[in-house]
Amino acid sequence: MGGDAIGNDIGGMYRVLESMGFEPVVLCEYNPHRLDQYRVSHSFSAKDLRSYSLIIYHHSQYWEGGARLLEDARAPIVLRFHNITPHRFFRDCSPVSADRCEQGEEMTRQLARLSKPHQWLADSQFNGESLTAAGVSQDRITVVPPFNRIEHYLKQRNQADYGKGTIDILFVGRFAPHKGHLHLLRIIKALQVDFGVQARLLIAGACDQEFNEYHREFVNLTFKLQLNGTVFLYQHIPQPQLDQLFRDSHVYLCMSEHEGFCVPIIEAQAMGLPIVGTMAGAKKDTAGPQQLVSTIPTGPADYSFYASLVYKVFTEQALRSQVVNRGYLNVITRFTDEVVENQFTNSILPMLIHGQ
Amino acid sequence: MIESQNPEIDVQELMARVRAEVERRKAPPPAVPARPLAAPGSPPVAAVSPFRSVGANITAALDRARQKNQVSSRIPAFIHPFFRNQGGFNFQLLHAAELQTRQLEVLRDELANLQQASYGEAADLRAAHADSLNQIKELQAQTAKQVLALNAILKEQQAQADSLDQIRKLQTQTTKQVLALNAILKEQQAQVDSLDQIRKLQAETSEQVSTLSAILKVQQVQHDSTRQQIPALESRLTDLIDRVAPKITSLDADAFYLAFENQFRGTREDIKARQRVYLPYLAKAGAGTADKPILDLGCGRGEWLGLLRESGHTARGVDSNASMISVCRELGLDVVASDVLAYLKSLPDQSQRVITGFHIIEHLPFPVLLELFAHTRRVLQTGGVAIFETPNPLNVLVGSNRFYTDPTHLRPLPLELSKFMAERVGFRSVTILSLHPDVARKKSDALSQEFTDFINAMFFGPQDYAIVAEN
Repeated sequence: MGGDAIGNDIGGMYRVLESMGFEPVVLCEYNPHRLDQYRVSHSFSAKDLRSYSLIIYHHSQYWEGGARLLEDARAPIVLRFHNITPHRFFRDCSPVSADRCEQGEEMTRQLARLSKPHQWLADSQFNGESLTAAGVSQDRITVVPPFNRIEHYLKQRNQADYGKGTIDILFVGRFAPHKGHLHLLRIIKALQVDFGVQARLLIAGACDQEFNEYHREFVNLTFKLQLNGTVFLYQHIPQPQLDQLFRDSHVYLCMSEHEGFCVPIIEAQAMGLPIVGTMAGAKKDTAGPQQLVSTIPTGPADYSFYASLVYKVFTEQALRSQVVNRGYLNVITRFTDEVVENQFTNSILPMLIHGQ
Repeated sequence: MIESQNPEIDVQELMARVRAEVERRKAPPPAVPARPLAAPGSPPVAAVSPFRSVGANITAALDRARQKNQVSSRIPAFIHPFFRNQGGFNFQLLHAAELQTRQLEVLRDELANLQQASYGEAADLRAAHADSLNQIKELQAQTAKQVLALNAILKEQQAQADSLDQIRKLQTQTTKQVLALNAILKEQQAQVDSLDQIRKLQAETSEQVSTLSAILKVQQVQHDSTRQQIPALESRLTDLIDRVAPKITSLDADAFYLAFENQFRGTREDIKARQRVYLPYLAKAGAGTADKPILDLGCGRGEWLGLLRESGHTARGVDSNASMISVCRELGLDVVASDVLAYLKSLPDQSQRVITGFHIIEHLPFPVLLELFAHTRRVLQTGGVAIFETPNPLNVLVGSNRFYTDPTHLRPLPLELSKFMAERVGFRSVTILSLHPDVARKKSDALSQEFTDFINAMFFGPQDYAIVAEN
């Protein structure tokens, strides 16, 4: 729970449950961030598990302890599915990660056969379809967006000057093969070649050790395309600095090839930043209607296409204004705290009543 | 709703257009089309056109005309006209002119044919264009209708979605309220359970109270009976003491104190004279009648009671010293043998007009003194007066030496303390009277007046003071 999307989702649920009069407990094996503001327990004994009246299990990867926990629990279970990245993305650069993802997918199929009273919460319609494909019955699936920090971003607005000068392009996401960093570089190059404009690529996201090879590939391509000097990497960036990046950038460009929800898209929309990107996974649904999202690029024409979109949104005020306004509407009607809290509360009520 | 002044941009259509532009930019330039070759089996394209064949004939005719006009160069020039073939020349010229005319006619026909052909093609094109335009207009109209229908559907769906959202919000609110009410109900049930227990305890307690009340009633009856017997017993005891007292040895404390008083207090007349200073307070309070009686606490030898009787006041004294009581009774004074505080406590509220106590408060332990003051105020009528006289510790000789002559004195009571106690228990107005300056006061002939006054105050100042407290 150190500020990542899943951590924010857990924190939001904790807050809502506490406000309803419950005494939630965060049950985990490790507590590296020292979460003093939450009740934390590391006890997985059957006796302690039986004391809970509801268990919310966050499923995003394979966890052997998790399967045992669900076996020992007596309370109704809410399974929160954050999606598991298909292992094919990691097979080449990190077989260990690929294996873990594959095991996670198998665990999803096992959990689909859970016989105890339970309900699945999916972050997005895309995640819901993934669950159905894994064998979960549709009547047990409810789509509830994840708790997020939109309210923080809604208080700020993008302040960049458009129309001339260097285009600052922002992407927020950790270094992993499915995040599409290489596409970003090719689009920056296409902007230079097709339109003669300079662009800066600002990437905020840490690199896990298991993806060092992918990171190297990214750096190599940067030099090959002669883009060194235009790419800026920010790892473990503090929140105020990240806010500044959102405020100063011109376009949020997201070329990932798989996403279960993609929280940074709605953060960018909340800040008033226009979005350009692929519609892979849940992103088209998350971004909302009338957004500049299209297919995953496969060749030079596609990179020129995305470069054209970036250039258009940078130079054409009418288009930019419409995209930004639609994005803002999307966020305030679907992802604010009030909306998410209502949907979350409604979705877990049957299990809560069952547990009483 | 966020309004925009700009016309709505169809993002999907824009992206399709961008893609098309990119593809056009990326596509190779079109090649220059080659000359069209004759199709197999068709007549060969004429190498020479009709216009050229006629032209060639004209040329040939003109050449022949020149030949007819030529004469050998061996013939002298002046006779050339005789040797030219004028007729042939003329014929060839005419022939050339004819050919030219024919050529011009052919050209004219060709031109007319071409014109006609082009008019026909243009008409065909216009007709085809008109058809396409009509089709496009029809398609546009259909598309516009479909768009309107879709907009209407979208609006309806949006309204439904809004309604659903409102319903969900209400649902959530209701659920939260239900959960909160459940919690309140649980709490109230717990309170009801507690109340039931309290009622049970109350019922048990009531039973116990009833039992205790009955016991108390019985005890009250016994107490009243005992109380009623007390005066009789007191009287019998007093008589007994009176009869026995003279036989008691000099070690008897009461007798000792009586003797001490007789020795050190002064004569009855001296004391009565000093006590006259209080009579105006009695008069002001209207005291000394049966309904406004006077009570003297610690009456001692009865000097004050005697003065009161002489001045026509109704008064009673109380003292615990049997010897003193005996003396008073011998004088015919109304006295009660009792502990002073106990007697005071037994009196009803507001039953006395004046309560006095001369040189008693310095004998009492402080807690008893506080009680005495409190009950004095309780027993006094509104407008009544309490007077307590005691040695004045401001007089150094009194405070350090003479006070302790009486072995039953506990401690000197500073004026401020006595005043504070009286005010504390609720007396409305407390006045201090400084009394009985020592006759051994010095004159100022030997010392300065100021020092004399100081010495007199310290050593020969008032030996007693009284607090006069109005209720």
